[in-house]
Amino acid sequence: MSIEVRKLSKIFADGHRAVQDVSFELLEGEMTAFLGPSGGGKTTMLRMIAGLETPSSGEIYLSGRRVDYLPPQERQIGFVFQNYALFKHMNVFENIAFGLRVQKRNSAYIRERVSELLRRVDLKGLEQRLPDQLSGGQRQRVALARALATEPRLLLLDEPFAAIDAQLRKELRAWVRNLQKEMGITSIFVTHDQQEALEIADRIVVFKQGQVEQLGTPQEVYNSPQTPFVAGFVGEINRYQTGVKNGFTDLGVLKFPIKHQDGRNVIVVIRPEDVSLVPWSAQEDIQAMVLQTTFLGEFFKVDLELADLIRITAHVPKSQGIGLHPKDRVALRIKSFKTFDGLSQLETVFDPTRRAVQEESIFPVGEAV
Amino acid sequence: MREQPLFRRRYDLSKMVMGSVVIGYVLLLILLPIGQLVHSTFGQGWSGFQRALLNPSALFSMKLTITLALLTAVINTVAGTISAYVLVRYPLPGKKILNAMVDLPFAIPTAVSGLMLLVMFGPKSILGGALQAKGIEVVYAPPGIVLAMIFVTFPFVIRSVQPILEDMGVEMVEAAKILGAGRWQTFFRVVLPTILPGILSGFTLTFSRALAEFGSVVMVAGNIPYKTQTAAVFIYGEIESGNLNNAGTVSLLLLILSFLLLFYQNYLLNRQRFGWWQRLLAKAGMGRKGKNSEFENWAI
Ligand SMILES: Nc1ncnc2c1ncn2[C@@H]1O[C@H](COP(=O)(O)OP(=O)(O)OP(=O)(O)O)[C@@H](O)[C@H]1O
Ligand SMILES: [Mg+2]
Repeated sequence: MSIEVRKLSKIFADGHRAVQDVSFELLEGEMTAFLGPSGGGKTTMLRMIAGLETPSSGEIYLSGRRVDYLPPQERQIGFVFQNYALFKHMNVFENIAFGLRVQKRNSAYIRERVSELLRRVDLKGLEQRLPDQLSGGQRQRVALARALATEPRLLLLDEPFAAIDAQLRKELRAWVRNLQKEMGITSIFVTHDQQEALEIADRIVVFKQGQVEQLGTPQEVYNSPQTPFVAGFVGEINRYQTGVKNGFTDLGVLKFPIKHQDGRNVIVVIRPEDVSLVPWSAQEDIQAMVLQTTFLGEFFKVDLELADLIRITAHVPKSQGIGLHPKDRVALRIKSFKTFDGLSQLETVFDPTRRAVQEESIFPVGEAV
Repeated sequence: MREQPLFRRRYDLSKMVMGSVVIGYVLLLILLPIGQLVHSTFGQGWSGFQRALLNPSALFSMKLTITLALLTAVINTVAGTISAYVLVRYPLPGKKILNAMVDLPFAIPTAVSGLMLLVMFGPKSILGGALQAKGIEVVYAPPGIVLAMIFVTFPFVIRSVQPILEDMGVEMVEAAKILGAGRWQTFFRVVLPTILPGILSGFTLTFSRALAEFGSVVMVAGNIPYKTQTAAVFIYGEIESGNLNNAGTVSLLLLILSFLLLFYQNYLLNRQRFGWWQRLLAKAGMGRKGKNSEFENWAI
């Protein structure tokens, strides 16, 4: 079902504003990620939607019906808690059957439904186990099956993969994603992990200090961040605070044409993958020295120092990074950058249609120096 | 190669010393007195034991003690569970002070507890006078014994349920709510089964402590045979009148009962997973008409 939140706020008893004036709308059947730093209000938001927390003001609509005054029992929502909150004294079967027993379904139906869910979450044969006899991943799947048993119209997951090791996490999230698509159930999951959000969400809501910074598809959020915060949280950035001088950024060799008035403060944001390295030559505008290279598996992270001690980080392909060493001299080309004004609103997106950078063929740099 | 066994021997030695200290301690302080008690009780042979066992006043005191201790345990289990729940879950003003006061009955000498009850319910007090006017006997009567037992055992259930409740947190309850369970269903299907081990353990502790209570009981209820003479008081009385055999026999019975309770507390309580309890609770909580087969999965 679709969800609409209007001007929702939550002020806790101690006066802390965990959520402030948040409005958004999410579509039927979509998987949405609530992404943001710790304390951003993601859990509070989720708990208000579920009815576990009463909003201080604002409205929540599920499929057009206002629900914020309803108790959690009447919202038809499935919730997977961060630490799963399985019933410790019940075995796997009874945990999953709980919602159905509450609905007073007959035993044949319960048996059938639970075994169907067990099949789906791949836990057949573990019916009789108690939660503390399961691994973390198994517990998580029990929690998921329990939440799905009563066929909720909306599924909420609070950091569902946080307590699981990296390898399993990747598998589980792909698996949850498939399950969600298969069942077509509208879902929201909370995460700190931008990679996770980019990977499995249809839409991302970026939270910061109780407010929505941006709402968009993973591509929109990544490629067109509306604030430096979003740019930095979703992906990595080089970030410079500077002024405007004669229509250019006042950053020494990182001199980009911008339209702002002189003397204004701007924030310049450059993604490391938009910095490409070319062999050093006297004709290049931006010359740099390699400080350090770090192998990160799929690419190299290269820390560089520019002429006037400004530092910048570039991500370069393995084939190129392997030939780079500290103190090597190279030249840079910036494929794109963004500028934000002092209030952190997006102002300029500079994408000089990828100024024909001669690709890595000229490398390795080591020889060119 | 020579050094290792040497090292190991030294290690073993320290282990042996520690072990014998503990064993010696237990032997000296616990096992020897018990053995001595058994020895003196059977000093006059099996027949002496039997005679003492069938002594009507001894039998009465045992029955009275067990009945009143059970009653006490039931009352304190209900009251204690509710108190623990309130102490953990409800935002009360002055909760810290209230919480600290729970332990008072343990700190007060039992004779003092008995005296407090005596002056409160005695015929000269307002409350005691009013009750007496209505023909309700409290002091020097079984109700006084129950009051004394309740008072001195009050903390047990609270202190065994409270940590489990705190540990449980609110998430399981929230999960139950989201899954549609109402207040009572949540309590009977989720909260109660979770805290049940604590409740049962509190019940056992209360019962065994109430069985043994002497100081406050003798203060409030005195030593009236066939009326207020509990087992502990009976033992004291028999010793006073030099009847070691009777005292030993009842002591031994109390001892056996305590052992059984201890065994239950430490062994069975940790062992069983309350399969039948859960089934019972599920039935009570849900009031479903279904046959037993529906509950087969509750058993673990
Ligand atoms: N019951 C409460 N009383 C007072 N403040 C609270 C309460 N619950 C949360 N907060 C505060 O509200 C803010 C938002 O909390 P919330 O749990 O929603 O953050 P979050 O985005 O989920 O963070 P994380 O990613 O660390 O889980 C935090 O500053 C937190 O301290
Ligand atoms: Mg959270």
